[in-house]
Amino acid sequence: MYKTYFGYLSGVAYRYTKERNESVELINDSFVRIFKKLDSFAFNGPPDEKQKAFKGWIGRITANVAIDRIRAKRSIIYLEDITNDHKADIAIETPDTLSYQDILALIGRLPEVQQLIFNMHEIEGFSHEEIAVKLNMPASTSRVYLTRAKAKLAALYNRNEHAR
Amino acid sequence: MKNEKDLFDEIGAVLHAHEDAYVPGAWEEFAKTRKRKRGIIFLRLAAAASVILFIGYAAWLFTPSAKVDTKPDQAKNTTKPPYIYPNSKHDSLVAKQSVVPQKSANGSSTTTLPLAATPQRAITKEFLAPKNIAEPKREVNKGNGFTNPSDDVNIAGLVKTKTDSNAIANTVPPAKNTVEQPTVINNAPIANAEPRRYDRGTQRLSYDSIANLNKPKPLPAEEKKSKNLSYALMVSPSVGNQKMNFGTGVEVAYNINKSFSVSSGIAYAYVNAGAGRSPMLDASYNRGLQGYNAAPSSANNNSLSYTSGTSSQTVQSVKLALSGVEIPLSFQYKTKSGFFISTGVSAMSVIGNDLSYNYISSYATSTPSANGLTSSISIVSESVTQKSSEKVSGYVGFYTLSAGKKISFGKGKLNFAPFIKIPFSGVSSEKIQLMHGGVQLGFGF
Repeated sequence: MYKTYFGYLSGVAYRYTKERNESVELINDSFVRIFKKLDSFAFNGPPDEKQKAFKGWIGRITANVAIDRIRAKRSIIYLEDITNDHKADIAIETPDTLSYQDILALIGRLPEVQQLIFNMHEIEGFSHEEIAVKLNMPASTSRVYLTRAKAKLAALYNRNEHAR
Repeated sequence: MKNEKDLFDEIGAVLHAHEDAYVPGAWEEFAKTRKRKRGIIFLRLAAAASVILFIGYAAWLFTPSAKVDTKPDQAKNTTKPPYIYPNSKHDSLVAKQSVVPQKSANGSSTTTLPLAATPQRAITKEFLAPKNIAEPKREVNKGNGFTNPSDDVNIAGLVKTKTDSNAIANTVPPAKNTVEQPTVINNAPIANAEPRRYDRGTQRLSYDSIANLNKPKPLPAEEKKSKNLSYALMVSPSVGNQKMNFGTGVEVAYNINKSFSVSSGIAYAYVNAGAGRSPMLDASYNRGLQGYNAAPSSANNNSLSYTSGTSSQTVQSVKLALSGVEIPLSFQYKTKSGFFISTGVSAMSVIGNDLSYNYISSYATSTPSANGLTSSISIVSESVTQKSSEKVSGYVGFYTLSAGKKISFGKGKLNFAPFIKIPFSGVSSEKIQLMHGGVQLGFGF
């Protein structure tokens, strides 16, 4: 199982650590927790969806471990102004298929807290309430950060498309 | 054109679908690390279990059991049967007497004693006066320690109470000597009790004397105190994975008995330890340390040299030095020959710390040649130590295990005990293990 899911968790871990070597350590910590909690994984859906559900489950565990490590190392400073919040459905030029590296580059240009929240909510599927507990912030703040992250991502992507 | 939702759906799909390549050797490294951690956990559990077992054993060993020597209470208890002479004439009298209760005309029960072998006058005299029956109790209460044998016999014989209806029904006509039982006496406990005998021959003892038969002779207060407490000055040099550690202080031991003692004290301790950094951690520290020596300059006496604007830094090791006040608590088992084994815990209150990173800083240097036409570029690496501003505060706990010997030296005792201290957990954000071992030298008095 370690070798089967190592690659997937490596991708998850890298989004939080941004360092390949550090992500290996994070993966190992995650596997320790996964092995401990393996009995608690349950899935009642169709069998062909089971592997996807399992990947989601281990991805969330990895994200949790990553957040714990980030919190232990340093406190996240929320310097962004969260006023003037507005959600805009920005029109984007139809792109070619986004590559993994392009997406990482886009996300990497977001402020750190927005990266965290975007990854946790959009990719790993954490609710805003869960994020609020994890990052010790109000759920409404998490929503605001996510909105801003999405807006920035869309703007960045759109700008890149125009530059081509 | 693509709306925002499609964009983020695509981002999610790409990220979920992405899988990095497996890093060869990752599983082996993971298994090795797990094995090492499991060993440390086992060691901690074993140390904790040994401490708990030792405490439990000591508690069991020294819990006061139900002592036979409860005679002081007996002496105060007036309901206990009094002392009876063995083989006396009163014993045979008791054995021969059968008690026959009777009902008198006024409804009160009476007891008939066929006193074949007893002088009738004496018995009648004793029984007619109620205070003669109650008298033994009063005498014991007064604490004079002596009882009246004749009263004892009477009490043992008067076993029937007023409410014994069967006995009343079987009443036979009274003999000459009928005695009316005083109704004020609650003699049930006395009647049910067996006469007690003590193997002291015919010597007559008071209850107090009996109570004190098996009592150990008390020691003088000063002698007891000096036996129970012992003091020692201790010095404990030790080594961890770095330089020498040092500790010194005073130990006070309370000798529970000849084999066990519990000790505590106070000591100053200086402990240091280090940790190497594996390559997988280097990158993160590199990132954190970038900028410390971002533009090092070097001056060459003979030629002009300049350096590149950036440098790379690789963390090699982390060192931690702690000083503080340590309070140990340990249990010790010792043999008659002076060998002892000790286990316990200690808490160190940190009063000073020094956390530093050692890293290799590398940068490129360009040196022009003498003719000025060419230049040589060289990579310069230097070892740099950077102190961290992190403060370690609070307490650091250790499990302690030691074994050694005490040798008499003059009026005191020399202690020689190799020891090992295992920390409860890693210290500081680097989780440095302060495990160390050494020799504890002491002089007890």
